[in-house]
Amino acid sequence: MGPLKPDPGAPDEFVALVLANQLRIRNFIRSLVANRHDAEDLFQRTSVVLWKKFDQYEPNSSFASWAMRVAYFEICDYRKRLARARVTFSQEVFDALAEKVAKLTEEEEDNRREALEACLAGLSEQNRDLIRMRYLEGLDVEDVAKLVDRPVKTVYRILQQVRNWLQGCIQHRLTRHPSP
Amino acid sequence: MNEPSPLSRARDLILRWCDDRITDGETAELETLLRESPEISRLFAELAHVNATLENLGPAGARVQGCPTVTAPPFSLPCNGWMRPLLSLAAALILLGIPAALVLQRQTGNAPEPASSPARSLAVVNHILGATWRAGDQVLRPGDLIGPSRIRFESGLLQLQFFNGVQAVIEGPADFEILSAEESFCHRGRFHAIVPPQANCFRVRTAQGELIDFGTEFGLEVSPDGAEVHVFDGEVAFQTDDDRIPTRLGVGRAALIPTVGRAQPREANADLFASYREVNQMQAMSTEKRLAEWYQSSLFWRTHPATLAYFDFEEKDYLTGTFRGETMGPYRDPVAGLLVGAQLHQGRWPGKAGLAFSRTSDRVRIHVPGTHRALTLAAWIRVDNLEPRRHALLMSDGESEGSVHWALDGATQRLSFGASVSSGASASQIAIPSEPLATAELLDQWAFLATSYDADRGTVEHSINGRNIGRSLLEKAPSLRIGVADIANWTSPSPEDAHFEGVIDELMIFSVPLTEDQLVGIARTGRPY
Repeated sequence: MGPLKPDPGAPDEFVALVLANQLRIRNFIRSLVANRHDAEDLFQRTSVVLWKKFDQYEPNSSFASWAMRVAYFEICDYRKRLARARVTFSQEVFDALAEKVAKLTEEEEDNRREALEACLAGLSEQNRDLIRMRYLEGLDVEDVAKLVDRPVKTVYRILQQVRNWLQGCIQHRLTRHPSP
Repeated sequence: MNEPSPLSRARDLILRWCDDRITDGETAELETLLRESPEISRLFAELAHVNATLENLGPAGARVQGCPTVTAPPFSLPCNGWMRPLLSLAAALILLGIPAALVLQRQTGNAPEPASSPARSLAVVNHILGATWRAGDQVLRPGDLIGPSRIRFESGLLQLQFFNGVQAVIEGPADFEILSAEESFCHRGRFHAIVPPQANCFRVRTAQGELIDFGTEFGLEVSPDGAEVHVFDGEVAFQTDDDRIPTRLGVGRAALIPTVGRAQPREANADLFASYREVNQMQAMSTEKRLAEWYQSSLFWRTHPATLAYFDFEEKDYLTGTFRGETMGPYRDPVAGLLVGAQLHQGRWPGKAGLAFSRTSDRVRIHVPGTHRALTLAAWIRVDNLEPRRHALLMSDGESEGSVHWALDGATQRLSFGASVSSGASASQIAIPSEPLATAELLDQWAFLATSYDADRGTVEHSINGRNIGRSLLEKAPSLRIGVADIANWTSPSPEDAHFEGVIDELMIFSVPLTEDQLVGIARTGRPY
């Protein structure tokens, strides 16, 4: 139990910070890791590292950007392991993406989430149900296809279209109602 | 010509990456695209972020097994913040994946705050046949998800697929209450269920008692006279409030449990109940019926005096690549369509053809002569892709006075009608957008879009499936000339102006503004489901 922070008030503060920023951190990692289970695993590793190094965090600085830096190094380690098994993006392309994702996550997270929720409300019931099953319920595309009695290919294609549409819808909302 | 644009290829690859379905070769291809274009890098960040947010807002809580205070996310969409910060510290740590022991040793033990337990869906409505609903009943549609709820309808059949595998059919007049995945209450109606072994102990309660199924197929009829149980396969137990021991019924057996008096044995009668399989067959027959009804209605419109052009895309002349448009209107020669690239495709029903537009050059060239004080443009379409660009539905060539531009704007999610007007020496465009569409309403499903224009009244009205989505008054309303025009494309597509991607299986142009009743009528007889 060596690395524990000695300040008894720290766990509350730490948990409050992680909870307030967890969507940002999770989104940052998932946006850069193709496999969602690996992304979840990396989020947990990152959380542990954040806790262990919590004494290095400067109070009043951006917790999200500190956490994303920590996550970045965790993802880089993971990429090295992954590169032995399959083709991955070059470090240069990955870094460019990481920078774009970090900026988007740091600056626009709340607006994007609000826009996403508004856009989800604009989906037809059928498409919203597919999104519910796939993402809120976490079902595989194959299971969703069985439940709605449609070919896997069709369901997969609709989910692709809907995500494309959501991206366009979010961009549209953000440009129309830019944040102050 | 068949190559998708780098942007749409990139979209495809990025989403395959997000789903971890990308191959090594595709990763290399995506790497090249990302290197070449900052725009594609930006798109990557945005799409990956949408995907991540959907995943992370959703089942983050659901990942925590055996942690009831933080389990399921609120089920209804949209809601304000799916992950409400109501978690206790302990739950939060588990959620974050941090070994609680690392931190909890100093905690003084706050009681976990209860989070609301949201309704979960338990079944999906697969088919509805001839159902009628009374005022106040919740009207269900195919594809609806059902949680614990009460289903009431007057007549017809409802086919449900429970997520635990039970395949059920309810026949009206019915009053059926789903209590949980395993337990329902039948107040009234005929109920047929095929219960797979993994869902055994599926129970249906009635006023007379409770039916427990052991992995089988059975029917249950509840009427004012009592409850009647029929067993077609396996074994069912029925227990009334007075019974100490449940009555077991085997294959081929039935029993009437009257409201008053003792249970009476019967022979099982499968003819009384519509099964899941039969509903599937009936659904297929109802499709044929709908097709026939649509055809009858279309005969009326294709021969209507106000019809300038009518395409059902059924018969293609393979020698010349033309479609025979039909009209008996003021122009003797039917407006013909010259097919450029688009492929024949199934339309709204099996047996109904349509045209699929997928490549950047796909279109149907038409010529609609004349100058018109009023027009209605109407089409049954299924959108396969709606990128944030302007997707052509019907576009006059050029910008001469009165030329017509009818499009779906993916960026603003609106149906848009435009016309060129000349004021003095300069020409300008009027562009009348609809209200925003619930656009994914269009994706992968059939919709009937219509825009009516009336120069004398100065009005433009848009509708989807007969529902008005915008009425605008114009200060200056020119006469319209469609002339030579493209269906589903622009004369010269640009990055903003894209072809239509999807299927069109009926397109009509009228020289009058159709009334709302007429549009509702077309939408009703033509709706595919």
